[in-house]
Amino acid sequence: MFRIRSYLAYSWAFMATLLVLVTFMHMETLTGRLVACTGLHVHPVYTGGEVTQTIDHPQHRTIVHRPVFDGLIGQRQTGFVQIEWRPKDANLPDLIDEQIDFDQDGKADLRIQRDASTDGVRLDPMDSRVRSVGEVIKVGNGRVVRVNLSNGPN
Amino acid sequence: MADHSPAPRRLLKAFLLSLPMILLMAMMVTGGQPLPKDLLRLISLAVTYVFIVVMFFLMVYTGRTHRYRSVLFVVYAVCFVMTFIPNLIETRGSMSISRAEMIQGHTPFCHMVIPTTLIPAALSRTIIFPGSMLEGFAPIGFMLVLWLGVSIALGRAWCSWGCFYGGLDEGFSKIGRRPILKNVPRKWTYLPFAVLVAVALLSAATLTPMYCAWLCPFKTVTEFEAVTSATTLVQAGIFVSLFAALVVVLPLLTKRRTQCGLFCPMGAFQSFTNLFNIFDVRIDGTKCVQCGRCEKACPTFSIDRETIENGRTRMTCTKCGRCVDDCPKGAISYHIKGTPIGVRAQTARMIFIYPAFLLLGIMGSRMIAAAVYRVLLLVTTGSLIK
Repeated sequence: MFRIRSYLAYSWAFMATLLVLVTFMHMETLTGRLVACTGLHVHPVYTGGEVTQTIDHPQHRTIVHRPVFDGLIGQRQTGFVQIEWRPKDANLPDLIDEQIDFDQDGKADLRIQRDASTDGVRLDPMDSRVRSVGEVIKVGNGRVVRVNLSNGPN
Repeated sequence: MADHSPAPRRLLKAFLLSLPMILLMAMMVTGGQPLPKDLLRLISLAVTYVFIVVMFFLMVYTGRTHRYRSVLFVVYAVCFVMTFIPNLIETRGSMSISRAEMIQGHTPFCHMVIPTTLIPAALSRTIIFPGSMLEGFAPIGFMLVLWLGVSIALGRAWCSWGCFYGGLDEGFSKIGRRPILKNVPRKWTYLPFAVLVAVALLSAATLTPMYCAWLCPFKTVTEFEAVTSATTLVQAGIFVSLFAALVVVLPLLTKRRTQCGLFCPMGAFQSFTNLFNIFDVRIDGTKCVQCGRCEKACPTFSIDRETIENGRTRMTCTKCGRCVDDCPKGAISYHIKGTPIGVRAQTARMIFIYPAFLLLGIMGSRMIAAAVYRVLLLVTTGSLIK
């Protein structure tokens, strides 16, 4: 019995070299499989959540993500909706003024404006869940805006 | 334990035992790709390869594990810093990471974050880190696979053979001959577990990798969030202070790896992988003379009187080989669980150092080759940056 245990132990120990080699040599395949099998993804607090709408304008494109309330378990009381403005050419237009229906119920939930001269963002809530402008981040020549929301019925 | 056979026979034996590693490293250093045409890159690859295989050969020939592991481990960590910072400056223009890069998922993921991401990963299958799962430099999936593979193969040996930070405090702990602070109370060795529990729970509650955001001292020599607010300023103050205290000053004073042994939550977390890993370090009670040299030498406080009496190290052992090298009676050896203790100790050691050195060699070769290239670039063009 002890001998069998020793053989098994040595065999398992030898496998360690193989395991390290396989880990490095098949890193890309293993990584892809791990992510696919486990369904692991980056938390929407960091990515902004899935894109739900892409609105084309003459000079820029507006990308609207789903509202993010995701907590550790269930939903949180507060969250945000991420709106991105990406220029089609070099820069965003001097003035952006648009209404966003982030829950896609056919009614605008907020009006958002950006004035290039001040680089300021102004928000007019059109829904009781819309609270304030959160972060405004410059990404290349575009802007990413996170509008703070409260979680509840509109 | 020294081999007392005649020198030519010892050399031949060491060469034959090293041959598989020499061939494997040739394959791994080049990554299976054709040799680079750029002369500087070719030279840096050749220098790296020779350095690594010589370290392994010496490890086998002399029977000393820690001495040569430590040289390579420290060089690897220094080269990591030498490579990482110029890379950041080349691609980003600074060591700091902006919110724009974070929101785009461009933050490189490192193993230190893993324990803080596990609760959200288990409950919601999400990773609370502003990186990318598959794309870009050091994606999350890549580090998870590496960590899983190495943890199964080697347990907490990761901390002495794979971690690209550990060599920094190990390097500082080697400066000077004698420790100034000799006694570190045992209760402090539980601190990493307390930090682990605290950061894991706080991270889950706030959906923020708390250790990474607030405590990681290695941000001082890698990257950090751009200081744009009072919060990021406080964060910068904390991580720089922790780096100075835990990675520089305390290792100098204690001659131990204080960041790894007294603070690192990843190290504490990794200790649990030792429970199922096949390799451990055992103390043969029939040979031990209770001199206490191993207790004083252990860089991560994993040996004390109690563990010596029990014939084993604590679960925090990083299998660095320091105690194995230092024991004057050859009472401490690498061991394969399920086999008799002290029997075929050299075989167990060889079976352990092969995967462990492969990890260090592969990870190290990439950093060392890149750092040698930077140095050659500096010599030939006057700049570390391309």
